[in-house]
Amino acid sequence: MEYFLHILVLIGIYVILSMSLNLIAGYTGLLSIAHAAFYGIGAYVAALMALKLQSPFLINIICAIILSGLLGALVGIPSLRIRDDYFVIASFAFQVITFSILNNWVSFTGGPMGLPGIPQPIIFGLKISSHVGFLVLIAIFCLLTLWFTQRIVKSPFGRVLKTIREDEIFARAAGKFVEKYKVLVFVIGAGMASVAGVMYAYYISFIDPTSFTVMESIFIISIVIIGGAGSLYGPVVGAVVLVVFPELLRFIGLPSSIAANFRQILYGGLLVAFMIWRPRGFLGEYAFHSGEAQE
Amino acid sequence: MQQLLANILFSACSIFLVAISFSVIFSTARFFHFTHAAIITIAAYLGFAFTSVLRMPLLFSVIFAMVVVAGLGWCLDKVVYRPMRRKGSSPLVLLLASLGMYIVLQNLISVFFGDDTKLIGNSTVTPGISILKAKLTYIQLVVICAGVLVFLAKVFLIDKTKIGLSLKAVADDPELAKISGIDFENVMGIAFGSGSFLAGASGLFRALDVGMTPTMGLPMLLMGVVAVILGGNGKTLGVVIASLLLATCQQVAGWKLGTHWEEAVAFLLLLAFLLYRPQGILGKPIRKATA
Repeated sequence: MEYFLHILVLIGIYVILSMSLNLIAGYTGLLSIAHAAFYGIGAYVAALMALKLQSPFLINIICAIILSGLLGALVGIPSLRIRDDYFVIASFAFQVITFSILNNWVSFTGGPMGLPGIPQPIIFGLKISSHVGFLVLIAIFCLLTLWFTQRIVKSPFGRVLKTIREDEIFARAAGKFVEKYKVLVFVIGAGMASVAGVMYAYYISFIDPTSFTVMESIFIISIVIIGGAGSLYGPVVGAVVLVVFPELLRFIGLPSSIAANFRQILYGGLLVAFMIWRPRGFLGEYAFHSGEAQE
Repeated sequence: MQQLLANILFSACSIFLVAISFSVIFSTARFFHFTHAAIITIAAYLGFAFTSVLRMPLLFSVIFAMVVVAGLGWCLDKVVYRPMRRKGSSPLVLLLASLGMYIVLQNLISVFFGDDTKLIGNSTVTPGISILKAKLTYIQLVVICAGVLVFLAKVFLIDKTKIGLSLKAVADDPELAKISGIDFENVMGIAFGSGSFLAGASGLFRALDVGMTPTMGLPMLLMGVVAVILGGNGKTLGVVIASLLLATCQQVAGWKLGTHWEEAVAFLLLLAFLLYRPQGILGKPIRKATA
């Protein structure tokens, strides 16, 4: 039962991560492999504040969102100058640099040894300590994320994002200040991702940089793509598929040493398969076609 | 100081080899073929398999491994990328597919060979050679020679021959190349094959130098990608200068700040160039102009 609840919590975390990246990559068409950096910053800010300042959960989350949002703006600014696959490389660079800082600034972040002993969150006097408690908390945040995303997507702001994805020049011609939208969507997406990071930090009560690597970023973007970029519920489908499917491998009796590898083979394989045959994923509308006219 | 220079030279040549192997493919196919990292790794493990398991002689194993991965690269193009090209997949989609394939291949290597560091042959620890007060190992010297040789070969042999010009033509303008009668698919296959062949060399050199792990390919490839972007798309001399620049920055940073910061330094350099000089050191402005 605990195991089942754990899977649900993980799904919840990845739903938040993928919905936030979906806003950036799926709706605005800015494919980024930097998302684990925002996830990580959220986790580290919350953990450091909880450990060093003993500040309450809600304050930590707000700070995490703000700091992550700032990093988001930083990543968003290059997207104004660098296009498509070159931007992917740039986001890669941000991801690696962030990981490097988390891993090497040992005096502040604990480096590879990580930050252990993160206390359990206390919200309005209630201490969250059981799996069920965390599940409820995560479910609340998931629903909030879903609601927030839906509001954005159905608003004029969201429509401009989609226009930028489909035909940026047209968006500019229509008078939209494209730069503002691109940077803003990164700020919002980063802020949302940091919430998942905060949840992760409190839930596992120990964080280290290995949870926030390039491979994690690639995993998150795979969820977005396979679930369906540019669709509201696509990320949910993607998160469920990519979290649950590999866990099923446990029951086939694979030795745990290679289970992790098979999990990666599975989602790597799914990524290739979808890119070849259905780039838009299960539910998506955006197939990562180039903005230029097709030959 | 001399050791620093020697390290820079070695590092630059290592990066150059990977970079040029990637550049051949990237400039011709026009997308970031990340599976290249797996090609690098596979070559090293083939070398291991040939020498340790099949007990074949070293030189033969190395060359054979390089030939095998060249074929693998060629197959990858024909089996995966060509159908996608026919469908009109964008560079982004191709990048993602290649990334997925890298993940699959890297994990397959982990499953079959394990994650521990393996060596080719029975590398006993031999003292390095001293040249002008700097110490280098035999294999490091080989890498430096290889770097120089590949550079000379590329500039004087490849770039000037008919094949080389076809590669450049396709890199420059695929449509026009097809119209002028160049066999596009053949050239593409050659690009992938030769790029993979050189990549195999890089992987094997690294394995001979410090050993191999299943994930060794990606960091190597990334340095190569940085050098290619810094150098300016497609120019061999640009890649050379970029490799030297990158190696210098990395080694100096490693010396002053500690080697764990080398990766971050490389990527900071990349970001700086992408933002302020996207055409690289010697390049012409990138085709994809922003609005």
